[in-house]
Amino acid sequence: MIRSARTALLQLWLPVLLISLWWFLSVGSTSLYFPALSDILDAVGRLWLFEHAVSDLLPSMRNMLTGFVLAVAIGVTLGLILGSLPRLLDAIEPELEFARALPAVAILPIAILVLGLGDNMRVFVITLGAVWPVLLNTTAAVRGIDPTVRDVESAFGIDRVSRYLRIRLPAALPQILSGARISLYISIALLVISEMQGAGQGIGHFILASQRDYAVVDMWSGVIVLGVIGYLLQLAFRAGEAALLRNYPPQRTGK
Amino acid sequence: MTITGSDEMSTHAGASANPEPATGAPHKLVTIRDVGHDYPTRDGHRTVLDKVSFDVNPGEFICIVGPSGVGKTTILRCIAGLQPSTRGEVKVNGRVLTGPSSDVGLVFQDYSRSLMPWMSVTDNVALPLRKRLTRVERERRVTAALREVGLDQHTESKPWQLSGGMQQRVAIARALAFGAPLLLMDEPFASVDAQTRAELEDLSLRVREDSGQAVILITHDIDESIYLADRIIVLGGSPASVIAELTVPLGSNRDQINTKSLPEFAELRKTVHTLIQEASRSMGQKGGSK
Ligand SMILES: Nc1ncnc2c1ncn2[C@@H]1O[C@H](COP(=O)(O)OP(=O)(O)O)[C@@H](O)[C@H]1O
Ligand SMILES: [Mg+2]
Repeated sequence: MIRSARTALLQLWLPVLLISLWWFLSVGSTSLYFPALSDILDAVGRLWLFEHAVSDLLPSMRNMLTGFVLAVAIGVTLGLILGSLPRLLDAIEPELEFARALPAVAILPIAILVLGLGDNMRVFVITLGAVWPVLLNTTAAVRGIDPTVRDVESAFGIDRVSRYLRIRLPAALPQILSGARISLYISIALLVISEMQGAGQGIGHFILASQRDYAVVDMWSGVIVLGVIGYLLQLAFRAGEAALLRNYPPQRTGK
Repeated sequence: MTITGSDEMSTHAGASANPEPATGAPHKLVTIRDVGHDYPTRDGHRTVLDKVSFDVNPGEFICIVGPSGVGKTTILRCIAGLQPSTRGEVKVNGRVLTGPSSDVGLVFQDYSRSLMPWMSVTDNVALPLRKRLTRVERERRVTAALREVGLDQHTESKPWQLSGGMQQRVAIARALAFGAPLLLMDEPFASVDAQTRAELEDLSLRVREDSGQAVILITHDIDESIYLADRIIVLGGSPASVIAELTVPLGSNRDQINTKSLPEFAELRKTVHTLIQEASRSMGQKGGSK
């Protein structure tokens, strides 16, 4: 209890200091680009509780989470298979490296051309960009499973489904989760970028539209909401990660 | 009961501890005939085993000893079907082995790698039995195996929460619950302390007694081999083969203090020691002349 309270204090002092600085330095600001923090927070309350939360935030989160979940599902499935078939992996390694090196943003124009400006395009781009950390981490983790575990699988004639779902997947889980954490960041970034491309709604669209209308305070309110959402998602991810890894030896989860 | 099984697609049949009655000659559980094994090297291959032959009777406790690097693990992996032998044949229950078999259970040396850390003790032991048995029968076997190794108080613990000796008991319970008539153990007690080691030795003797399984156990500890075995197989030479088979006339009621102070025990210790020393000397020469 005391320990966690102390950790919380240690983690809180810097944000509190920075926010106070921002608040006091921006009091009565007349700068067009850096309005007073008090005005921005007013706008957050006015705009995001709850009008734009429903019209912009909700669809954004839906697209982001759909893309992220698809990326994790695809990455884990393919990673389990590729990691289990080292020869196939060696054969397609160059293609894999090429595809990974290609920024998903570069696909955006093609995706818009093929899929239009709707949610499908955004989900597609998010999935495409976010799949790599999960895929590569899963593949490496499965390939790196101790040979003794492979021996256990075959010596005891473990059926194929159990090999994948009860042994390889849990063995790779800690590394899968560290990949998924990066995928989550990528998903948020790609969501915003994709919404800045002619979308009619979404938080990325809101920020860009406010900027074009010179509604700088509103724009800042969008940025702040985005930051808060990112932070909350990260907290939720950590909680989920801790729950999933509760059966693992402590040093593996500590990384 | 098929004995064949390939790596990916297992053709393990239901595990059965009853060796089928053989027709004719007295039944051997395992026959190993002229087994040879080569490991590929950069320039061709290296012959580790050549013409290894011995038999195992049902319920017999065999210890394999020999200098380090002689090929003990290699022969065990051949018998486990994890690594097909290059030459010769291994028969278990009268069938030629072409892959892992439900007639063979395995205890690995390194329990920290062979157990699944995220699974409870119960789930680890039950893992090989999924898809093989009904839930009731599975639970019965797992409970019995855990009681046999003295872990019935720790069924829901994770392996990493247990001591090394207890973890190896989980591995033994897993092999036991598998129900194969043959149990293979590769230096199973090499990484536990002396006290735990003695306990686990007695445990293996009791398990063999209660289950009637035959055991092939590899050890580099000469005292351990004499204490446990009905028969000791000494591997030596390069490539290695069986250089001696010694029957251990110590009866079936053994205990750590009295058995080890018998004159027969001391006599055997001297014999095995001499054999291994000679074997490592000849290996050293071969190694030096390469
Ligand atoms: N996978 C392998 N590839 C090549 N050589 C190996 C391999 N495994 C073992 N060897 C070699 O074969 C010999 C016998 O090994 P091993 O059976 O592990 O010996 P032991 O268990 O008696 O110590 C050793 O010299 C070892 O270096
Ligand atoms: Mg060895």
